[in-house]
Amino acid sequence: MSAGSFDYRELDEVIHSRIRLAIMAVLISVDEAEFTFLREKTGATDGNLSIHLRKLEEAGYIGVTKQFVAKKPVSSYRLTKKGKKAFSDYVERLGSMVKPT
Amino acid sequence: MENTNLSEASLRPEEELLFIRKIIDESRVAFVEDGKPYIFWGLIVAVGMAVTYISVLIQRDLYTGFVWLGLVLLGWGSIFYYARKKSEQEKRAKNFLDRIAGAIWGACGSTLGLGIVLILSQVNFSDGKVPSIHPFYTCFFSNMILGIAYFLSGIVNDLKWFRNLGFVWWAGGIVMFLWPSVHVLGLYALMLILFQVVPGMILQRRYKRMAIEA
Repeated sequence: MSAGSFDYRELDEVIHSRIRLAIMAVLISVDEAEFTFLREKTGATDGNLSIHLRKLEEAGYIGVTKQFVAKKPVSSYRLTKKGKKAFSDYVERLGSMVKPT
Repeated sequence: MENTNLSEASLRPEEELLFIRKIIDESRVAFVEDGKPYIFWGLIVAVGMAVTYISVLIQRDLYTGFVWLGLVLLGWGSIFYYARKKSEQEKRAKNFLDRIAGAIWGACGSTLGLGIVLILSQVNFSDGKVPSIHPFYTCFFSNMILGIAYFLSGIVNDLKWFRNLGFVWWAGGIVMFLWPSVHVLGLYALMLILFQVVPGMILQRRYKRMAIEA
């Protein structure tokens, strides 16, 4: 199999989506991020981002803390231990698919 | 709804890895030192020290007290404005290393301020008598604390050259301790320009470069 034609079914399908991958990559580089920060970094719309965040949350890859700051609801997201392991495995798997030219 | 799946047709593993790298770099830029506080405080204290040095050398009061008061107010005003702007970003995302770096400068800055006030409180400026702790030792004390701050910040930010500035500050402190004289004020002002303002400018250039690349 060449690097240009890999079997993407070998990859974690929860992470294997552009927005979910972007969310995971943002959260791996910070401890915790608010919804607005994730929206800015991923370039996703509110609705789209919410859907993907919920998928990651259902998979147990991210955790959410909801609180009120200055009477406004604020949701903060962080990677769980399971999420960190899944992301690390995902990147490792990708790395192994890249063949030296 | 847009297709967000990363399929075989959309991205190859190399591209996907680059995509991950790009997102991580973009997110981290928010926490990279931009050098501004180093430049602010370096310039402010260097100007104050230079005025004090010249004033002592020519034995004429150049309104040193007022100069210091104005500079400190300007410094705190700028830092307060900067911190407010930065906290907007920090409130939305938290990074452990960034908080550690902030804690290092917060702890060292408080120690520095308190130490200088305690040393200067020993001085009776009206009768000109030299107290048990000579005011020149404020510079030695500052150098030692700045050495700690630079050394630890360099490690936390993974910047070897910045960590090595700690050794420079400690070396300067030793010189000031062994040869205390009026010239330590001039030396301290010079060190602030060379080893605080210039590194601040280097950090600022690095920050701008990283922001453009991200």
